[in-house]
Amino acid sequence: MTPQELDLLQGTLNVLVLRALSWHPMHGYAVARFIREGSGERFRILDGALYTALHRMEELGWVESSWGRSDKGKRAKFYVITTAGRRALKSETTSWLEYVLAVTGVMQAQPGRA
Amino acid sequence: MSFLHRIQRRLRALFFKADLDREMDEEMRLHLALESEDLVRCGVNAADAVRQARVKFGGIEQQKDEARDSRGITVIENAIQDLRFAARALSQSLGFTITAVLTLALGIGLSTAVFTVADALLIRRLPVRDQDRIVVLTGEFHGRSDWGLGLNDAREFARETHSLDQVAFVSYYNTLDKPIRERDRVFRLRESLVSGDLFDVLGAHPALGRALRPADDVIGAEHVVVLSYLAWRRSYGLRNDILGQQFRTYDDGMTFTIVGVMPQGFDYPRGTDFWAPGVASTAKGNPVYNALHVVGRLKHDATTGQARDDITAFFSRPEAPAWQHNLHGVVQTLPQLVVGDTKPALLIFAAAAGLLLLITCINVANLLLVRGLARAREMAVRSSLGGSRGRIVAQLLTESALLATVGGAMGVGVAALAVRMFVAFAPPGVPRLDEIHLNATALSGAVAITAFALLVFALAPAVTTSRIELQDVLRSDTRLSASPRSRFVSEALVVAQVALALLVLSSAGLIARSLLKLERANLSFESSHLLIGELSLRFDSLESKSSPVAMLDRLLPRLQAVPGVQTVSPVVAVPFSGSHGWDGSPSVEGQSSAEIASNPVLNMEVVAPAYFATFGIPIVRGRAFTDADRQGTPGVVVLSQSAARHYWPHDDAIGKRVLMGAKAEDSLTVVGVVPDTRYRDLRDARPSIYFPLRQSFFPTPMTLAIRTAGPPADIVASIRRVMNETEPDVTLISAAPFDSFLAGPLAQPRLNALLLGIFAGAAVALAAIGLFGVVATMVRQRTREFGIRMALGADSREVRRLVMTRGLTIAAPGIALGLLGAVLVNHLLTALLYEVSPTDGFTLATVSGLLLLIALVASLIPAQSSTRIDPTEALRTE
Repeated sequence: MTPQELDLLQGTLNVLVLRALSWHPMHGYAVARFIREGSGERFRILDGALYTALHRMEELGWVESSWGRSDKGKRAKFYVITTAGRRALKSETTSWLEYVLAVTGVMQAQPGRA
Repeated sequence: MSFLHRIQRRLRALFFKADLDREMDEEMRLHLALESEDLVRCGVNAADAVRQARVKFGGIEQQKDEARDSRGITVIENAIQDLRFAARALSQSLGFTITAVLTLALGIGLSTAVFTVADALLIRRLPVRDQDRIVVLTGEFHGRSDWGLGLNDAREFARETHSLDQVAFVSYYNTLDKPIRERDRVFRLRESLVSGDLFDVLGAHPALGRALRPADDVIGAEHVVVLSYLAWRRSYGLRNDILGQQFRTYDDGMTFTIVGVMPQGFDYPRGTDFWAPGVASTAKGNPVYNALHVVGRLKHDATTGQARDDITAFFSRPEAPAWQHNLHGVVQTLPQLVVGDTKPALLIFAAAAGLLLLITCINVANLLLVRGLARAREMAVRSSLGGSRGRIVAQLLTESALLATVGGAMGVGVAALAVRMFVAFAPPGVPRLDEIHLNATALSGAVAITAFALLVFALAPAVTTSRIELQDVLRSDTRLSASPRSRFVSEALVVAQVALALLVLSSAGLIARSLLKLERANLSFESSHLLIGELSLRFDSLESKSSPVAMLDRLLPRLQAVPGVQTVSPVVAVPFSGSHGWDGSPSVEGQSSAEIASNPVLNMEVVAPAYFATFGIPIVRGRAFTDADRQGTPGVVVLSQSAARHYWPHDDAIGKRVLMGAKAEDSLTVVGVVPDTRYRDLRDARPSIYFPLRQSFFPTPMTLAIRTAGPPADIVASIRRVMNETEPDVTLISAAPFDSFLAGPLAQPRLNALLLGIFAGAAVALAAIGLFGVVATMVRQRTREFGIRMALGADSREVRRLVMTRGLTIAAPGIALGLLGAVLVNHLLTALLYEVSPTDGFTLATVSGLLLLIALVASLIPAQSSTRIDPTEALRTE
């Protein structure tokens, strides 16, 4: 475990997972690794939470699952992003960027003249 | 995701649960395997890798649960699980389950059955249009509210009224039984003379053929009638070719053609067999279509009050005859009229059914409470294992719901059985038995009420038991013997049950006593060995032979000569005929019009001299009639005691004169005084006036009373033979012993007593069960204490006394409360009671004693078992 693990802000897990899946279908472990590596080993989510997110998004219709074979030949459940999922990714990404800009703006702002 | 898709997923989750779980397992395993592989590649050793992978994952089981939750069918799954668990739990405590289910079945079944019966018998829904706007107008005078108008007056009222849209007439006095003789078959049909537009006004449609029309109601129209369903079934065997059939009434020779049949349940006026148009159907010159009740439909914006004012004003108009001025208008809507005098009974039965339901719910609630306490440990453990309080409550409620369902299902069976038994054993004289079927509305009502009440009552124990703290329970020294509060609740519930049972029992007792008094009512005449026969003269005998009086003059001596006959006399009507008797209100010379208005309405009898001997009526003063009282001799009458007392409170009535008309020359001399009898009305002895047959200017009565030496039924054949031989134009339409007529007025009281008796029995049984349960529980919970007592030297009798005292301590306040309730509430029964006060001391004392006895027995059984407690065993139990 790396010393500094950033706590994932609530709600951002969904967008990360969708982003992962937007590249190509992955099974659960592959998504976990994508997020871990993409965040420079800074994000280590509880894998349990990941699966919960995946199942919830399946309920919402943002992802679909099917069984297939992993690169090692083992049977694995693959998740595929759907059209609705892509739309959700797009809107969540936009929101996230706006959020980041807003926070950055405040962080860089200087006190106004009183 | 589309809706369909979502449903598909849910269904899959529901039914292929095992598959989904397996998939989930597989997914998790792969993840862990890959994770451990990576760790191994990073240098961690294999065993550690696996453990670390697990830790990283964070709670596999919880994850699985969450995943399952997200399947969206948790609620359904929980419910199914609750149901399975409930079924298992209930089957494991069979004693409780069977008691609860039987109690529910009994309560629901009986109350539904009685409600069904009351509904079918007492609420007669008529197949008419908009029945609440139909009103019947009559006049009220001297306690009777069935006075009507003559035809011309009625027509004038119809023209003048402002509150009624459509008006029709129904003849009240002429719902008479018409004899029909077809070859050898003699039967009777009850005729109602009505105006041709009655069915139109009522909006009633026939089941077969057509109804009467105004065109049928004119002189000279073809004589058509509409038959009732019951008559079609009873007298014509539901034959298909009924339309167009004809019958001829024996006494006036009119031939009627049946043009329609009314549907089942159309029963206005009550008991009608056929409706005939009043104007067209009366024999020429016979002013029989009178005493009309006005039946009308209220105008759109008119009220019943306006209709009442209308008719009252009409009665008081100057041109009206003097006696009409005394009438007050009475308006009843058709539903009110039809329910009529049975409304009090109906309400009482509904109340009794409700009480029974209440007692049932209390019983089961108590059972649930006790059971909840017994399962306290189980609940505590479940709660400590993570069961949320909501889930525990939900599970307990599911048990209650399951009980309610099973009990309700059995209740249907009980109700059906009870209804069938009622129909089989109903007292004679109860009408419309064929229309009693299990009422779906009543049943669903009872089940719904019970289920609702059950859930409400079950909620409290459920909440209580779920709140139990783990430490309290596991730290058990005693079995969690009911916290004093829940024991108090339990006992309070039983007190309530006992009180309610006493209430129902006291009502049943009062009604039973009432019935006994009615059955033993002093008729004031000898009713045994009395045969009542109805005669009918063939229509064309009036012209060929001499008058009916002469016919009777010939017939009576012949009948008297028949072996087995002691005396014979004509009477005006059969026993307990109510409105079919004759009434009059004679006055006395010198009375002011105010006094005349307050003269009682007397029952009028036209009798032969042998009448008083036939009925065994003693002559209190003066004499009976003799053969000397005939046409041409001074007019005489005999009065009954209360009539005599009214006219001459301080004088001897003998020798005084009464006036039957306005003219002084029409006065009649009183020659005898007799007691009031109950021949006309079982409940109240009627003041009467008697006229000698040979002097009477009234129509000749065609009913005979015959005193026999042996059983009345034995001589019927002989009488028929004599009549056939000597008077072939006279037919004996019916002959029955006097006692058989008692069934009529006694039918309703017998029914009331039967129904309330059943209720009372069930209520007492349930209360006894409740009391037994509470006392038995108490014994069980205090087993240890009793064991200690006995070990310390108390003998078993003391323990028994202790238990029984407890039982009585619960029962006594219940009885006291019940008595208080009875005193307060039983006056509602007054309408059904006969010469019994609602607070009759004897009845209340008897039922209290009975209930006390039952309480003693209910406490005795657990008390007995408590004496058999083995002290060493008791101390050992935990």
